[in-house]
Parts: sequence; structure tokens; C-alpha cells
Amino acid sequence: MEDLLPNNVMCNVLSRLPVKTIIRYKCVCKKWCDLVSDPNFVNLHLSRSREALMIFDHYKPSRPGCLMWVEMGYKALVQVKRLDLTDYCGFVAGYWLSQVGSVNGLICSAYHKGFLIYNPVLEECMYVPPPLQEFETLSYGLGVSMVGEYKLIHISHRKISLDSDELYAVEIEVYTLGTGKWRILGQTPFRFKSIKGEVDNGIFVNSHVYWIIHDQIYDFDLNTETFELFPSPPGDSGASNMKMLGVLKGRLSGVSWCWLGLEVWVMKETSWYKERTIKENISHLLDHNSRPLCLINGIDGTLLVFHEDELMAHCLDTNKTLPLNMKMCFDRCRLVTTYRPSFVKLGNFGLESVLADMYEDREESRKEYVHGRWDMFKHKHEFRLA
Amino acid sequence: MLKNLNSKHIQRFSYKYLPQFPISPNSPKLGFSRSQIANYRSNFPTTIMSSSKTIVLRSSDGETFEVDEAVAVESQTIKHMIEDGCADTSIPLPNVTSKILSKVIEYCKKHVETPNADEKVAEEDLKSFDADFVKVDQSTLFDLILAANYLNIKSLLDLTCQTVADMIKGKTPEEIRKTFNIKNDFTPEEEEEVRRENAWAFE
Repeated sequence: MEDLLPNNVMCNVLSRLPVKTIIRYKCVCKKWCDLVSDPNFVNLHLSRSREALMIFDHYKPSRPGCLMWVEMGYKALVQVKRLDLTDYCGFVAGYWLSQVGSVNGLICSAYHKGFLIYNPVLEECMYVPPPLQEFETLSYGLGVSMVGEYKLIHISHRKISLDSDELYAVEIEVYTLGTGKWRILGQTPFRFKSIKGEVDNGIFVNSHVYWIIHDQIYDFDLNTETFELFPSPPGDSGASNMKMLGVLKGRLSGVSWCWLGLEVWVMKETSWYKERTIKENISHLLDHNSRPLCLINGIDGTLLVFHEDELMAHCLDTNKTLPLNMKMCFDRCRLVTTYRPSFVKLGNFGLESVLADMYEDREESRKEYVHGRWDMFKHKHEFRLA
Repeated sequence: MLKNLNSKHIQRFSYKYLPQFPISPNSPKLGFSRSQIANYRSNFPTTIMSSSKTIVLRSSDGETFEVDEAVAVESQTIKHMIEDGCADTSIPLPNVTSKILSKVIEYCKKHVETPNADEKVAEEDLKSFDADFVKVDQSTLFDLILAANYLNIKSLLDLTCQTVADMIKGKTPEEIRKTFNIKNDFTPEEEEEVRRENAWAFE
């Protein structure tokens, strides 16, 4: 029987459906099952994929925690999937996981023995070894360059004492997915007098990754692999108060706040524009206990997510606050990041072994995916038997 | 320049661009004086000097449709045919029936005519046109997709694909198979395995 619609049209139609629906339709026929792995479909879907939230919830200090993939509905959040990281990638059981970032549907988490990169949609994960240099970590970043190379960046400080002064130099290492090894890019010319405060993970936009370190914005270009200072917004409430970076409608954005209110800046072309100033509604919430968590493109406009006792969002276009109806304990909820689901296959990268297992009894398919380096995953089975 | 304007041009242009003369295409009035023509040219310089070509499209069942070039080139396929010089007499479209072709032409006409008007109003108008345009039965919708795909009209393809996506969103795999005439080539065990592997999506 001839098919009613040609492949490229079917790809076009399927790429417009929600992720769960696409996965469900894999069982329609073998062709549709394969269509989902087709690179054409993957790219089409990625270009249309809408942002969702990934909430990182630690429910016990000793467990890696779980990730909740949550979509922004019109009135409330809809949970799409809950990933218990212990079940998912058994070899991280017992370790504390911290989030590195998410790019094109791939999520990266760091733990003390290395990194984990996974795609929650395809349920595949991959192990990345820890960086070569053992200086104190400042921050991480994840991004993809213009030619499609996914890179993991590690920024650390190294103490260089000059006489009685203590100075710290910034060192960078990069891992390109598929190569299997870290490359030391070396010391940058930037120096700090002290290490103060935590540095948030890098924000990826347009093949650059940005961080705020000690009140300055730094930019790592993934194409040329250079690390430079990036201009901050002008004026009094510029970088000194710029506390959080994010991406709004494909542009680098930042939020700065002080007792006067909150300002949202957006980088257009080559300069910063103040997109919005918010004085009412949320200024009473801007104490150290409730800070904005992330910027996300919601359905009705761009949103700033933050939380008090429960997760709230402030719509920047209509200036209204929307409760997202998701209660969570502040101590547990450490991170909320944006996530765009995709069908990007980890197996396409190269040297690393990819593990795809949710079910114990799928021995056959597990063997298919893992090429070599079986020993690394051996202890997972030992742990389960215990 | 005036020498090149023959009676045929004047006849063709007059009914479109000279509203004060209610001349029908078949009207015998051909005698414009030089001063009259010069006057019209000064009022409508670009329209009279440009040659608004029409293209003849021939559907699979032999019917012909005459459309403005601007409308016809909404289709990248037709645009390339014209550029390659294959469009002297008529363009045969063996994959498109007259029923579908007339709908496609209606769509392209609307989309070509609209952009110059008011921003907000035009947008709303176009949106409601598009919404009504796809209120057709399923087989016509699929024929429209195939035509948009063959003729390479991106906006129509996006519109129809989105309509189909909205239509199938809530269906079960079995209903999908019926809709698209797909044969289930999984054995029951294989299908069960696919469902099990992706259990989270079936919750």
C-alpha cells in the first residue's frame, strides 16, 4: 500500500507535535520509528522545539536527586517527565550531582568523578572524564559551535602568589564531545585578588558562552576558543549589580537588581538595551532568599522565573505575576534552567560509549550501544546487587 | 517607447490600470491618443511600463488557469521553470488536479495581494483567511499538502502541515494508521517492546 504522504512531509508534520506524542507514534510502523532518528527530522524538530524548564530537585543530600522536566502551559506547569538520576544512570548513585547546562536537548551534570551527558528524550547517557588540571573549579559551561561541535568548558582558578599578594589566575580547559579527551587551553590574562562567591554556570547563546565572574561578564567564543571580557551594560546599575544572565528570544539578556527594583537588559546587535524595569509587584521579594532563577520564553511572552514558597513567574511583557502551581522546598530546589527537548543522538559523537538503558532485561540492546569500556559500568551492577 | 505599445498591450492594460474607462477585456476600444497614453504613463509609470506577464498553468485534467506572474512565482517550482525558460506556452502540472490547483491559486493570490495594506489589520485578515482555507475534508487537505510540496510553496506547506499536526495530536497509534493508510509492520511483540522502551510517553 502506498503511503499517503512522502517522508519529508511526514517529518514536517511530526516535528510540530509534542515530544511525548512523537515518541508514542514510534509504534505506528517501522518507518515512523526510524523517522525519529533521521537527522533531517532531528534538525527540523530542534528548530521548532519550545523551551521548557528543567528543575533540579535534591531530595536527599546523599542521592543525586532528580530532574523534573516541566513544560510551561497556559495556566500552570505540566510535568512531562521525572528523571530519577539514580535509576537512570546507575553509576552516579551515591554521588552529588551539580548541573552544568543544557544545549540542544542534551543535559550535562557534573559529579566528583567526571560528567554525565544525557538526552532525557532518547534516554541515552554518556560519561565524560574529569578535567586534567586539578585547580579549584570556578565554573562550567556547555555549548555548541557553528560547525556543530559540542564543547564542555571548565574554568578554574590557580593561585599565583606574587610577593605577599595573593592573586588567582583563570585557567581554561575544553572537552569536545567525540574526541574523548580534554584540551588545556591554558592561563588567561585575567587575575583576581580573591575568590568570592559562587559563579553561576555559563549561559550559551549563538556559539558563545557567557559567565558573570566577580561582577564582570566574560565571553568564551566556541568557534575561535578565545576567552575575553565582554562589555557590561552602561550606567550605575550596570555590571556591578548584574547578577544573572539568560537568553530571551535568542539574545543574551541579563537581570540586575537592587533595592530600587529589577532591570532586564537585552543585548541587541552590539549594545545593551534596557528592556524593562520592574519596581512594583516583585521588588519586595528581592532579598537573598528569593532571587530570580532563570529567564525563559514562555507562551505569552518572556518570563522571569523566581520563587518564594512556590515557583512563580513574572511575565515581562504584561508585567503580571503568575503562580506556576508547583510547590517546592527552597532548600531542595537549587536550580531551574531552561531546556529545549530534542532527539539529538549521543551515539553520533564518536569515541565515548553511550549507554541507553532503563530496563535491566534489555541486555541485547545495551550491548549494541556500548562499544568497549564496559568496565566503567561494571560497578553499577555491583551496587545494585548490594 | 510608444512605438512598442501595440494594441494588444493597451487592451490588456487598460482594464486593469485605468479605472475611469470601464473597459472589459473584450472591448473594441483600442484607439488611445498619444497624449492620453502619456497622461496615463505619468500617473502610473511603473505599472504601464512593466510587463505584467501572465502564466498559464495546466492541471492534470487538462484545465488551464491564467495567473499573474507575481502570483505564480509564490511557487518556487514554477519560479524555477520560468527562469529556466520552460514557461513559454503553458506550464503543465501533472500532479495537481484542477480542483486543487484553483485552491492553491486562490491562496497565492491572497498572500500576494495582502502585504501592502495596514500591518495589524492585514495580519488578522490573512490569519482568518488561512484558518478558513484549511477547513476542508481530510482528502482535500492531504491533496493540498502534496500540491504545496510539489509546487514548493513554503507558507502553504507550513500551514497545511500545522493543520494536520493539530488534527492528529490526540490520536492513538491505531487511529494514526487509519488516517494515513499505514500498514502496521510490527509484530505484536515488537510493538510491545517499543511501547515498553518508551513507557514514559504512554503514561
